[in-house]
Amino acid sequence: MENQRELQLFETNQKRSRSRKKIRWTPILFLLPSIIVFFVFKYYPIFDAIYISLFNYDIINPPGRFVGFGNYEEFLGSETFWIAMKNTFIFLILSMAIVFWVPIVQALFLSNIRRFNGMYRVLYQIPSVLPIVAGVLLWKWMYNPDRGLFNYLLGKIGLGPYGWLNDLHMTKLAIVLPGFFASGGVGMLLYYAAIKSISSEIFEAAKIDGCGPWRRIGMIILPNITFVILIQFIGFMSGVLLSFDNIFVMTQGGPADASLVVALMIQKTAFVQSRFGISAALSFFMFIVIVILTVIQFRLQREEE
Amino acid sequence: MKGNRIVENGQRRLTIVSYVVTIVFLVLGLLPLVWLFITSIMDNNSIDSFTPKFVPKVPHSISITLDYSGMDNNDPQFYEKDAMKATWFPWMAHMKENIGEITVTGVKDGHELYRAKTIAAQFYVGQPFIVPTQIFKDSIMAQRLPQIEDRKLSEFTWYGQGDAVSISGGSNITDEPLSQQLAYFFDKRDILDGKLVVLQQSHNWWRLFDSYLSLNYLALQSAGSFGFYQYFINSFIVCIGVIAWQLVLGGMGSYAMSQLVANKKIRFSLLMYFLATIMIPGVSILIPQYLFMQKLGLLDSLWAIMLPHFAWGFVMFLFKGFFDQLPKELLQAARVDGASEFSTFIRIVIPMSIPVFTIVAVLTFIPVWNDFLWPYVVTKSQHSWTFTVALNDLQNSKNPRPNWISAGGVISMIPLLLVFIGTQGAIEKGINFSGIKG
Amino acid sequence: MKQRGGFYKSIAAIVVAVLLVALTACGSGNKNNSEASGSPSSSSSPKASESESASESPSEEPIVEITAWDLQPADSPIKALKDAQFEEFARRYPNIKVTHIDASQTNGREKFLTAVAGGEGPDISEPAFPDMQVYIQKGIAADITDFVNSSPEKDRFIEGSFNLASKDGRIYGIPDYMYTTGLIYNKKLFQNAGVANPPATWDEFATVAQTLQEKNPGTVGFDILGMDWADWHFEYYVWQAGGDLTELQPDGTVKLTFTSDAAVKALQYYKDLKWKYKVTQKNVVQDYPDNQKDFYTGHSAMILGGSDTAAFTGNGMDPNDIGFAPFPVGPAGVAPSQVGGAFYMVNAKSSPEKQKAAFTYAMFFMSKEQQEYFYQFHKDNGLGVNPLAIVKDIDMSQYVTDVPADFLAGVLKSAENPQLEYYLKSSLSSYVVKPIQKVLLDPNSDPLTELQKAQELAQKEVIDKYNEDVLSGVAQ
Repeated sequence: MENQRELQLFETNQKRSRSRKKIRWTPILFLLPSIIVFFVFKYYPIFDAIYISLFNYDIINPPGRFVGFGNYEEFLGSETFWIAMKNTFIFLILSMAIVFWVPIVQALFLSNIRRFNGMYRVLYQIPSVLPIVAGVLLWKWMYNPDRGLFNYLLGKIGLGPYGWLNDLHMTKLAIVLPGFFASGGVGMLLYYAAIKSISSEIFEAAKIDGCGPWRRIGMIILPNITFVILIQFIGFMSGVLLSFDNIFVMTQGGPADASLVVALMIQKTAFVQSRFGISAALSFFMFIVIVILTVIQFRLQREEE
Repeated sequence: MKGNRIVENGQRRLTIVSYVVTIVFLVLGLLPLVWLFITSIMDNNSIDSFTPKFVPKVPHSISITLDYSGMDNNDPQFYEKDAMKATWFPWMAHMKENIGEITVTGVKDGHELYRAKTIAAQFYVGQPFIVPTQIFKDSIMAQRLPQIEDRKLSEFTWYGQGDAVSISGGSNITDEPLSQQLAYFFDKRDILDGKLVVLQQSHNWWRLFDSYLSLNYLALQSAGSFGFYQYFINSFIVCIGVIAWQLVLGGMGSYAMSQLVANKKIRFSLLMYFLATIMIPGVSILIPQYLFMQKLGLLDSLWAIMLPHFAWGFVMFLFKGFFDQLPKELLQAARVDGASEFSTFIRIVIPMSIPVFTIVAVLTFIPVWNDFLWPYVVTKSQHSWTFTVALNDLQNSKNPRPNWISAGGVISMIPLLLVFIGTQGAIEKGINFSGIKG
Repeated sequence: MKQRGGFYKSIAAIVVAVLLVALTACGSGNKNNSEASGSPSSSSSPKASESESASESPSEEPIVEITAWDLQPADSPIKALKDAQFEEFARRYPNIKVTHIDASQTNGREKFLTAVAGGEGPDISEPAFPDMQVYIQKGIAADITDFVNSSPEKDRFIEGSFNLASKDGRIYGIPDYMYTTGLIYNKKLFQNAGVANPPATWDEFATVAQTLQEKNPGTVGFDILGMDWADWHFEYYVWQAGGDLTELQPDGTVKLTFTSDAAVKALQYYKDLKWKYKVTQKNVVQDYPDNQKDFYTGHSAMILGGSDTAAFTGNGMDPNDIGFAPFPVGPAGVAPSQVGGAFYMVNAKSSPEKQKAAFTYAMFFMSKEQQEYFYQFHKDNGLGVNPLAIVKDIDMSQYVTDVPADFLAGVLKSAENPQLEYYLKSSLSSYVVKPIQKVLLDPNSDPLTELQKAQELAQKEVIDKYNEDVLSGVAQ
């Protein structure tokens, strides 16, 4: 009783002191490092990128000639850019078809297994633990049309030989394929947790209604995790749109720009062709795209809440 | 529920299918890793061959005995040079033969004079500059000797007058094609000072793992004695640095945002300020960040790799979500007691936040460990590479040894595996916490 | 509660402290190591270390520090050579302190430009011939005309060797080395197939390659270069067809000739090699080192390359199995050999004292004594010797005694007809590579169409701006 009253008194005192507009240093101190770091490493660079994108940026004698929207006009009119956009889009479709649904299916079926479930969960994490660079190099070997494992094995059952990274039409598929084998990981855990959190009453009700286990998947589980899937999808899309590491290490955007995506184009125009203005313009463009996607994601999350 | 063993109609089929699907996925997922491991212990010729080989061949072990009886010379350097000639030259000439190690024993007047040993890990690292050609001359080895010694590419132990050794008469050369070829090589080239008396061939299983040891010997110009492992250490340092910052200073910032700022509007703007940065893709700010680092003169240091990672909106978001749920009474009680905000944070909040700290640490560790593009762009000389940049470079270097790349890949998995397995529980808890699952 | 709080506080403190120590150790460790100029820990000679000699010999001149990106990586076969040279320089010029940095990784060219831009480019570097043109135009290369003209070494260089590094009468580089390229072939595989001589024309080349493949099952006739610098080899074929990829106009501007008859013929030949004659490796997108690997493992019979075969002999190939011949002639009846090489370039942004020091440094390596030491080292260690010297006063015949006679003859023959790489190659390379890859990967592609596309793109993105700059006199 005493304590509570003391507490209330204290709070009112606090409020009073706040209304006297005393500067409280502590929150400022706590926040300052983060605020500075975020400004220096996130906000300043994006403004700088916008600035650079307005010039024919000369790295030896910055900033070079002012061209206003010239860089934007140039890349929008450049065939290479549209090829990159097309490729990015194709990558998205391929990834959706080959990679996105894998963790969902894995989680769906895993939730039906009772014995050693924990062990399976851990085993599922292992493939996702291989760093992308190492994994890609491994796949690159396997894709070698002369010496690689794939053509050899496929040859044994009478298929192929395929060009893989040498085939302009197969290149994108070849880049996306490793994702099928290595997806899962934390994503799978997410779906698993979502499935497990569906209240068992719903299941009981369905059972009583005569809904068999297979139909339950379609009628109960999937609808209830739709929201998670949606959220993951947006994140997935952003990830694919920005994917760089795996494509760079595997093909460097080639051959003949078959696997050139916008993220790669940004790196190439800057560091290989020294066209920093164009690169910055492209960067800003990607930023806008991602902003739009993220806003949609936030809106959806808000709605659910 | 558990006691209820009524099995439904489709249940059995579903369970079987579930097992099948899970097993298939697991096998598919683990198969490439198994292949990675296998190639890391195969010898390079098998890897490069045009029909893939699946079974690693155990490397050969060659031991040679040279007799110097009757020679005057007592200079260890002279004999070391001879031992090296007997090791490096024939190995180079027979590079395709999957030799795992060569041991040379020198004897003189019935006693052991010296013993030298070189393993495949050392040979393949040294070959590009110790024996880059097929020209085998005494003068060349004389020049190379200091390099071999400096880089510890061969072991040489001098006994002077060691244990007694007796050499049986008759042919002491193993009746295997490789041994015969080597004997012929020595005979034809006639480069040794000692007389070849014994040449034996056997197997040594341990030499299968030499590619891992090679990584150790791949000494850089200015790396420590860790060789390739230096790169892993670099990656590790970067990760620790980022985690430390995120936990301490990021945590402080989020805590302030959550608990210390009273004004709702300010709180909201701060949150937006941090969260909005999630929308900025790394690739968009690559160039400005690079130019900025250049101005700071930090290019090519581990700081340059670390700093941009200090600003992660997602972490602030996670922290805030957690701190929002802290019981306010506890904090108020501390304030009433007269504790400063800072000590409240340290003494009360941190101990309660272990779950979220663990999650953040893990979620930070993984992408920073795997980070490729930024370290690739921002580093120049080898000593500041992270292992991702180094692995990429290995495939481009003049002497790409595939089994080194595989070994590097296998090693790079280990820290992540440990982290994952160790924090499995925390991760799952964290997923439940963050409410991502809706 | 209180104890736990203190515990965590100290943990945090320890972590931060460890970090700081580790980072400063790394930082200072790095600095220390990169400044170990001329006296690396390995193979240090018993001579006095460079810092000692600096204090021993009285130096009236002030100490100038320069950086050079010429530190050899640890596994380089010429590391001992370079290190000895660094030491010798440090001994002779105690007032010039050189920091050696290793820049041997593959994207060195990109890093170079951005380093220069950031003001931390090296004071002396060795860009290849094509890069030189770009650097002069960008203003990165220092004008060293006065240094050169007042140097006693000037006339030792062969005729015309300064041409590629000169512009409007000013000199911007010192010739470093020169090589020629030709057709390298595996004599053993040729013998097996009963082919006596390397092919002399395009048609012969195709049929010989087919024969080689037939008679040596499991091998490939020719390793074609389709990745990275595919244009580097492709340009030879354009020459052999009588043309080139660009034309330098009298007023300094550049005209693209991707769509010229010669280029189209050459690209068609490339296409035929892959799809009609089928004599190339399947993995056309592998890079040059992989092509070389095919060659030295005996998997391919022919490859284009320079006169230095260290890459092959260093990986187990017997030098007596390697043959060198001039390129087969094309429809125009000619087969010029590409002359490549590098210059020493002084950084235009360095201070005058550093530029002079850098100039001295470069000239040191080109001195008769050092050149002879260089070749002797190569000979002694069985590393391939490039028979073409860029200085007049060295008798190369004493150094090439170990090179098989016919190989030597091939190199000298190809050197009779030298041609420089196409103008502005450095900037246009990525545009030319695309049609090459297209044609090698898509049997339905049309060489002319692809070249047209590439030319339009290059014109818009590179040439228009370049020509504008040239005409408006923006020579920096």
